[in-house]
Amino acid sequence: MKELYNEFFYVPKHGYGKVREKVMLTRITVAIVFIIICIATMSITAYAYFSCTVSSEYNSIKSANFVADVSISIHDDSNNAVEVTKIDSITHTAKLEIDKKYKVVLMPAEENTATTGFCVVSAEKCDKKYHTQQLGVDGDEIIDTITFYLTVTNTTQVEFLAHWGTSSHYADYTNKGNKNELYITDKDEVEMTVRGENASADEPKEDKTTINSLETTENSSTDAVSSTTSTKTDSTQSEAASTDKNTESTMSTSVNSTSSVKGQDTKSTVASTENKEEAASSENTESATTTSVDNASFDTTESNESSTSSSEDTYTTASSQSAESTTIDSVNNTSSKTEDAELTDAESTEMIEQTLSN
Amino acid sequence: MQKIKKKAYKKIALALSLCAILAWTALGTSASLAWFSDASPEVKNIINFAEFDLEVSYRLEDEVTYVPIDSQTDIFDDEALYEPGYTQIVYLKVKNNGTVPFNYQTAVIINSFTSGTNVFGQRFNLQEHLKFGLVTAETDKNSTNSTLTEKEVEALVAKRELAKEVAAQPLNTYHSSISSLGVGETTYMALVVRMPEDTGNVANYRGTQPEVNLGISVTATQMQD
Repeated sequence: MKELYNEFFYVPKHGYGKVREKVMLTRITVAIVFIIICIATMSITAYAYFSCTVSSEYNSIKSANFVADVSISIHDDSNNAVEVTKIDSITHTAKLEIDKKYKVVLMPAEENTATTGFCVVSAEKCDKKYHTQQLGVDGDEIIDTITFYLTVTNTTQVEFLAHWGTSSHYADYTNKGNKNELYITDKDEVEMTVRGENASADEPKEDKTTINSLETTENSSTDAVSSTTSTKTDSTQSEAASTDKNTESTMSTSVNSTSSVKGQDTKSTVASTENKEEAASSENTESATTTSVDNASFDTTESNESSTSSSEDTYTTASSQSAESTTIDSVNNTSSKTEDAELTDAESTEMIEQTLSN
Repeated sequence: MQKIKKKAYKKIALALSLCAILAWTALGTSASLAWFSDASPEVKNIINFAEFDLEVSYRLEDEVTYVPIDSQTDIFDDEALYEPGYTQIVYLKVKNNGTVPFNYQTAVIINSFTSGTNVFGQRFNLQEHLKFGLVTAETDKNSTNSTLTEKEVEALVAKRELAKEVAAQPLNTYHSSISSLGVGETTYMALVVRMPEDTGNVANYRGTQPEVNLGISVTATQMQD
């Protein structure tokens, strides 16, 4: 320390030598540094004195979740229980046989924290997807259990998919006297039309679809851009959840890519938009809303009444539905059906592998 | 020796004479100054530093009274769980209790977040599925005033459709424009956070509950004229 002092700070007394240049520079530098520190301190103090901040730093925003439990029993004297397989946290499946009436009971699970939700009921080889009534908050009521009776025209695997939010058919239901046939309320009796394996049974449905597709194509030509945009948005959301469980979302994606079914997509999107507008006019806080992702997927499949599923997988493939619902290019669609099916299958397997690895 | 003593006495006498002259001059000057001037004893000239005092308080939709905010205050409802269609509105009241007008700015900051896993097994961040909006006097296109009253703010977000229009941007770090508040003035703001109705099962979590830790701060600085 003494050496450092002598080297950089020592100033000899008068008559004992000159002040070295190094010492002068050091002293000047130190003085300048002190000046800068003082100016900075003064500035910071002045700024702090003339400013004030009030903050709230710990505000937590949390999410709810919705889970539904399913119990099925045969509605006859024997009252036997049907085995319900839980595929994952939101999906239950059960094998239902022809000529039997099943009593289905749906209720929110104990671990459920969302105030409302619904279930989507679908089946293999069935074109229609049914939405149940809201479980939980439904307007001014609270629905704890939904019981309905289900029959199928052919033995099939029925799937019950829990979904949070509000059904896109809710707006129709709230308009009294205009209940959508695809909306299942408490004590309803539903007959699911399940296609058999015979091809001849499909022809009338194709004709019916031909009529529908023409109507939707003609009516919705002017809205093609906006509807496509909106469905693309929905498909983007659905693509983000790309697993085999999200087949409906992938269906909407592939449907959008097929130009011949633009009309149907438009119709479904317009319907969903209308549902949204009607829902928005409702005074319900949580139940009078729609889910456009589901609209894009479910309404699209609903408009494809004649689409058949040739896939051996549990879930229907989008390509088969989109191809079979077209009428203008039925031959081309048949050829593309196979290609799209292959692509979709490959994509779905990749998605499954990715999710498993994650 | 006598000469030296005489010199010393002379010096002392001269010094005393000079002091007497100075004293006489000072007395004469002070007396004439006092005679020809007058002062009011009641005037007080006090020099103070400017006082900054910003008070921010909040209330939820269902509440009536405003509660002051500090660093430990949680202005959002702890028990609220966001699901499709859920909307939460927090009303903020900013008051200038100081002695000078100031400029203030509101900031919303995401301090931290916890990712969740949805029903499809995918990771997601909750803030990506939330929308928010801050209603201030500047954002109200119909108002030309620099402040908003409580009723005006409530009218802007009273209905669900209006709240949807206000809360349209994704939840992210946000800084409002700089506004001014005069001495004693009060302005009201509304912070809206909602989950859109079309949020699908991609945000329906399983396992770890996703969470967003949000920070809200109001900063006032000296107004520069």
